Amino acid sequence: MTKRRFLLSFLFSFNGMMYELMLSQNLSAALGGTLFRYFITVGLFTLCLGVSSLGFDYFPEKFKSISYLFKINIGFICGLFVLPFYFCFLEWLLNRDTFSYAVFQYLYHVPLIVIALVTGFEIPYLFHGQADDRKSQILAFDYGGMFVACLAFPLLFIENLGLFGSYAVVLCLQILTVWLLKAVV
Amino acid sequence: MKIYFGFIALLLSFCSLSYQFLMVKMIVPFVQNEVLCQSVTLGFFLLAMGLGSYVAPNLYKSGGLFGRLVKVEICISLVALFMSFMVYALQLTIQLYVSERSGFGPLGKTLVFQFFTVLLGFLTGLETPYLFYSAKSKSVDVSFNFLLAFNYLGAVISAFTTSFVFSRLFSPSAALIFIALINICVGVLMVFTEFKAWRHRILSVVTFAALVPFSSLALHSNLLLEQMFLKAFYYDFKLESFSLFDFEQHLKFSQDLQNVQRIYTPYQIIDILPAQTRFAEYLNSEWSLYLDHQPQFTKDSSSLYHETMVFGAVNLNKTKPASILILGGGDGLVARELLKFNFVRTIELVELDEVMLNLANSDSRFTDLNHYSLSDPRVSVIIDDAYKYIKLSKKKYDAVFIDFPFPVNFELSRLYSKEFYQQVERLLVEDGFIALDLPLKYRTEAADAPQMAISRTVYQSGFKNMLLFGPLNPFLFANKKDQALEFDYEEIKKDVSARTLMNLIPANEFDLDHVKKDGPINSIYKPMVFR
Repeated sequence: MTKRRFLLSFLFSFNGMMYELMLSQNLSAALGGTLFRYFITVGLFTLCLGVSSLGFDYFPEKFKSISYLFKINIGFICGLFVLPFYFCFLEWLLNRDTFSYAVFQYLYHVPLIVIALVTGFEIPYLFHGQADDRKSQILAFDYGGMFVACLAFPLLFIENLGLFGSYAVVLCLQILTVWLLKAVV
Repeated sequence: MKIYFGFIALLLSFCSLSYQFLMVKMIVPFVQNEVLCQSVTLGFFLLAMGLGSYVAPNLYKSGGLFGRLVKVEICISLVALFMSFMVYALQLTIQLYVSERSGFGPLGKTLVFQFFTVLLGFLTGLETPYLFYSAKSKSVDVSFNFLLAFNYLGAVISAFTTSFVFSRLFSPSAALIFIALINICVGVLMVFTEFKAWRHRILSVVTFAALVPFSSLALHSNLLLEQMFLKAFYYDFKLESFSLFDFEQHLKFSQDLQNVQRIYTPYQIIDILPAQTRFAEYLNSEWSLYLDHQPQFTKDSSSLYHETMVFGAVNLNKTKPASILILGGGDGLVARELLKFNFVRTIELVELDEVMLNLANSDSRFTDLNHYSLSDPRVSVIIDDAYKYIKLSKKKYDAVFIDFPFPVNFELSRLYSKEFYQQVERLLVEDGFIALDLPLKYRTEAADAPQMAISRTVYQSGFKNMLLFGPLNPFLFANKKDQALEFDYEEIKKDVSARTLMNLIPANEFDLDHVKKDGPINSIYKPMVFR
């Protein structure tokens, strides 16, 4: 079961990093302002990860069971299926006029915040009930997942599969992760 | 006490992430492949962090060299202080001793520097677990999640400061030393948290204090090494042997040369070279401009480049454009050429880099060339991201001149994408045209070659007519009309120099039918990076 937790930590962080990189690409494509947008994406994403980690400590004990992470992820996957339609609708709204751009650009960040908050809960859930030494090792696999995502996204995914293809692959991986999570529940 | 540990976690994460960001900034111009360099460096950093985190419980229990956070911080500060020095030394060594024909490409160059990344990453990976153990030993109720949250906050602050603050105030090497000093301060704080015996506390503080003078030494030696590397790089110096004599001779020669003026901006590195370089051998030039190590123009070639672009495009379109948009071109030289036409009524120039605009407006080397074109009443300058600007603009233009740096990363690749050209096409009047620079180094006839891919991207964005011209400095001209594109030499020879006239010929290998065929195009959603 411990090995499965390590694998889950790896997969969750891989997926999380991939979402961050894809959203960064999508937001700078839709809204422009590369450096500023990159900071907004990375900053907001990381900040929400932190908020989730911190918030988890204040959860009532009964909500800290990993079965809740499973339920959250089921809802998360449903949301991920809707996400491309949400962005297409926003793109249509955004291009209407300058006023629309000024108003609706903020809605682009909503999925970013939601995804980051969900991703931020994943590691604390995996930590919960584990020995201190085990937590360090789960963290190690978390870094490992990010490492693979950092290399795979720019060198493999984006150039060969494009943004939509990459999104489809990560969505499949997310489903696989939730399937693996079911065994831990 | 809980907040204290959170604050330490924040500072440690801030320092570590900053080292990683700054390290990438230092090696990207040398490696010349930003995507590869960023990915590999961040990847190795995270992997080493993972390794550090994995072995942290065992190392903490065993004590030893890396057994306490204070010791880890001493090591990190030491590495950080001398990292920039070592990076420059390695860059200089590779430049002097490794031949370009040896097949030592961007990946090899990137991997050489990963020793520092792995070392810093490993030590960083120890920090959070150690901080947790330290808090626990003091019976402070701090959870792993709490520290992780402050870690994330530190990462956010680091991303912001390295992108927006340090890039305006310091060079990456100076910023590294500044962060190392912050790291030393955090280490001193930890001394009083981690050690109870005054003997250990005093010894540790003295060790940290001993590191401080090294910062000034590192700063000074960085400046010297940076200049040595820049001269070796731009003048393409190579040494035949590893003998000390050869190196001393090289040092003497290098010191006699004028320094390269280097300016760091949040968006690019501007190098102004005092004399002719390997990249412009066919010209006898006084000074030359490089952006991110890529040649832009020399004092003498500027007229050839910009005359070809402006006069060539206007002549091909056979119209008199009155309203013009320049995207990029912050040096003011495209604007200078356009202002020679009386029929040009308004020019809007959109440039992202304010530092480049300041140079163009106030540096005598630039103003001698651009004749203060950016201060002309017909010219309005907008400081903005070109992509964002054209996406929101509702104006119509008779011509758009696009003068961007080479698309060597995903950010710049957006400015050569189908989505970008579609927006440009939307802003053009029916008989309007665009002209853009297609760098010489990419010239090749293969179907998926960058030059073909960009031409195909322009074609599929709605520009059905196009021509690649200029054997010395190639440009792509495109419009929406259905007419043969030919230069009117009788008309143009009155306005341009003989050298420019020689450059106003179509490129032999350019075949529009070839462009029309299916092949890869550059899109934001499936970007191509031209390495």
